Amino acid sequence: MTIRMIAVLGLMAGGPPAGPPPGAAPVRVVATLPVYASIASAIGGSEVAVTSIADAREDAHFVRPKPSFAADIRRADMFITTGLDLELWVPALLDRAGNKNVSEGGVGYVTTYTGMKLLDVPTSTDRAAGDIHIYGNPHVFTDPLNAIIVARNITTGLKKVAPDRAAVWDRGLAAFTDQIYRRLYGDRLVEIVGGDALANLSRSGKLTSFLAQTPYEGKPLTGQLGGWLAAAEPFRGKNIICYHKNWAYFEDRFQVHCADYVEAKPGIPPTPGHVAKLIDMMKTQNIRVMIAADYFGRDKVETVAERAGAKAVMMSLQPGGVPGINTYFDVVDRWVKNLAAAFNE
Amino acid sequence: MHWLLPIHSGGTYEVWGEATRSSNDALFGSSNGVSLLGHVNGFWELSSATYVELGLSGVSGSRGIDSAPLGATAAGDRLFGADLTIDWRPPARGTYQQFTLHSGAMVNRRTYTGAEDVSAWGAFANAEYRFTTRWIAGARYEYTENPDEPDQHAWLAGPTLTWWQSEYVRLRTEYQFYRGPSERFGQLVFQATFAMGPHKHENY
Repeated sequence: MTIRMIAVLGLMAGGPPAGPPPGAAPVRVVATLPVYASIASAIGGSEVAVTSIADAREDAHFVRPKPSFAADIRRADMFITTGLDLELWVPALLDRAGNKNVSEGGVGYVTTYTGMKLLDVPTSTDRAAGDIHIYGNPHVFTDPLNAIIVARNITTGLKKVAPDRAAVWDRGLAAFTDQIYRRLYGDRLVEIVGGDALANLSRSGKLTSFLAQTPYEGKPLTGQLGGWLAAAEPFRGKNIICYHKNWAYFEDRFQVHCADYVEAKPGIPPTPGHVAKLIDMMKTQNIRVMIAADYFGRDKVETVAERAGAKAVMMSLQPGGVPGINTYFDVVDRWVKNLAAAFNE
Repeated sequence: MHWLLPIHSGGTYEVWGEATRSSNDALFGSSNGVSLLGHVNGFWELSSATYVELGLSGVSGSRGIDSAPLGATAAGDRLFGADLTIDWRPPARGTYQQFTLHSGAMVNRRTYTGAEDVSAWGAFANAEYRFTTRWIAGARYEYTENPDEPDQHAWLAGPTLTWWQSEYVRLRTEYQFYRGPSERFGQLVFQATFAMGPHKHENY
């Protein structure tokens, strides 16, 4: 009788159930990239069974759409992809899998870019400019604030696929978002200003001036900044050389600037002439650091950097590619620390 | 039609079935009948870098009798094939290091009503190694018997060199040494391939 009354009251209140129904199977999630799998795991915990298609060590542009992946997708409840033209191997896999629930337009199909402000959107789609992405730069997750949007989109998908566990997904999203804020700005600043307010200031480009102009206990709030943004101080406002346009969103968030690229055109291997000009430019402008994703040839990257008297920083873009780098937080930690260390040498 | 078989242990297995109008001159001559094709494919990942794929195919259909032996009143073709692919591409070095072996063998059984059946076979192997982002070296070998006169056979072999200017432009050269029933020669072949559209990721 008591149990029945509580159930009736719950229905009248219209609130979500407190947890998953007993014995509910985990939601089967297939993500294109390990970074999305990591975020889905952070949200869903033991209520999701997550796998990723791309290996953490490989270039997301050139993943082999193997039949075994199609078999995984056939059994999936949810499929996560960037949704731009980064993973162009996805349609072949979805066609082969034949799972309408996770195909484009299906209830379990999630695009992570939805709701993001995209960078590098081309004004014309001419292949003479190289492998340009026609919708904009798809390497969206190099900005931790975009990772929150990724997490929101994944949460929306989980709610569609398993609405009975909405409270679980909401709790996971809230915890992930809070963790990003604390890692990005530091605990102290988040407690003083609030994570959402800081994120809004960051997105509008007003964070630095706000912190400098707002007093707290007699000093500017800048002194309370911690986390990744504080750790990024050694390279804030500095010029670097980037191998590929992987880092556009990272540049935007951490205020570091790719002055030029080893690839003169995205996706096109550099010519000797371009490399020679790049080395001259690095020497002339005293650019001391070059960054590249670690799936580019280490010898090639280090040779160019060495000839220019610069430090090559090669970093994994995905969790799972390097021992000890298991989550999205680990990945961003490593980006910031390695880049800062290169400038401190 | 395509089926991804619900077998979740060991490998991935697929089956294709097709029914089409016979419009292949080499296989079905002037026939316009229905041909049936079946293909079974097994895929096994040996490691994160290496996979093996094995396929078995069969195609069957009626054949026009305009080129049949004297006395034949009906003809058909049955073609059976097996193909094997081995691919090695370490994920971290996949953009500049890869080895691929494609190979296959086919047996053709040409059946006649009122005349003696004829069988012929052929095979090929193609190996390629990508040693930089742009450069791929390889070698190819082919052998075939004449499906009408199996005593006649020919083979071709030679090295290949491919240069990708980008994923949209491929330049390729191949030296071909050919030895057939009535001639033998060597020739250098050049090929240029241009593509349009988005990134090309269709191979695996």
